[in-house]
Amino acid sequence: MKIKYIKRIVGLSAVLVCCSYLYFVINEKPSYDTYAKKTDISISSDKLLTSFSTNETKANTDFTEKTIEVEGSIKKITHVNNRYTVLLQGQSDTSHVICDVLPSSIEKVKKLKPGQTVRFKGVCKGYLLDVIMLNCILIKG
Amino acid sequence: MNTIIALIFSFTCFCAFSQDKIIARQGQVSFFSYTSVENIEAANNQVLSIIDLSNGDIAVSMLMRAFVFKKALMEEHFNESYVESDLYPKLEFEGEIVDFEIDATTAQTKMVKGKMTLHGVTREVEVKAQIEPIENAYVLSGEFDVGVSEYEINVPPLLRPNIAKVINVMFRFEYEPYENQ
Repeated sequence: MKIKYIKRIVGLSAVLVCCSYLYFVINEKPSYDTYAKKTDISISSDKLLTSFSTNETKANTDFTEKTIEVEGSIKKITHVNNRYTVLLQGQSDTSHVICDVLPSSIEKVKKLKPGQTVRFKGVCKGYLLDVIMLNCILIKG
Repeated sequence: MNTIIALIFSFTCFCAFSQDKIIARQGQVSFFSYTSVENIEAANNQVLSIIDLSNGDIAVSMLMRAFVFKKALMEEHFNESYVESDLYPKLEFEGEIVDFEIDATTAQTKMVKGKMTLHGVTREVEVKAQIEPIENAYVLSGEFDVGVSEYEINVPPLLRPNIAKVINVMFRFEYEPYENQ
């Protein structure tokens, strides 16, 4: 009888531990891991901007929420609201690809200069006046 | 929504030839939801805003998917269940800074009035904002509350205890003359 109770308690405890583990795995998972994501598309900053400015609806289907490697020339590097961001040039002077940089790439980004050609990997979030890319890591530059 | 996009683009076209327009491509908008069950916060650091200094007109546009949460599950719920980012990808605001004083050399507190479109619902809003002149431009900041139900955002019954009925929104835009971008 006693052994039966012990088995039940052990069984219940095991289920509780598994549930707690699953809860933390699902609930506490960080929002995005660029390093672990496979690149969906590689494209130049100019082509990416042209795609969005020509047909935003189609470009949203093609690029938004995809992991993208984008290559382009640096227009400027900014540090606003405690975020490091690299703006890549397109053909137009009014639109850029905005790459919001992850902390792991900040030291490398600090050494970059305007005009330099670089490649970032990140997730595309869509288009305002610029194409917005978040969670970016420096791949080349 | 199209009106605001048109306004931003018309601003953009004129900006190249005018020193009256200032732009913030990396404005910050963050929100907080406080409940006894959990606190949820998120920030969007890529908010676009343009001000026409000649008349105080202001336009703001942001991608809902660009809000960053600490946890993936929160981000998923926010985009898929609450604001439905696939259907309504942007929040847009179009309005004016009331009695904007272009020559003020110190910080001024003004009301910003206009129409905000979120989740397909457009409402008149009035927000108190501080406008501080910096070198060649301005910083605009402030906070306001948004009622979740005002924008027809449906929270599933199971998650209602987790989401505050009124969300506190904070914003900060650092503008630059458009020519310097």
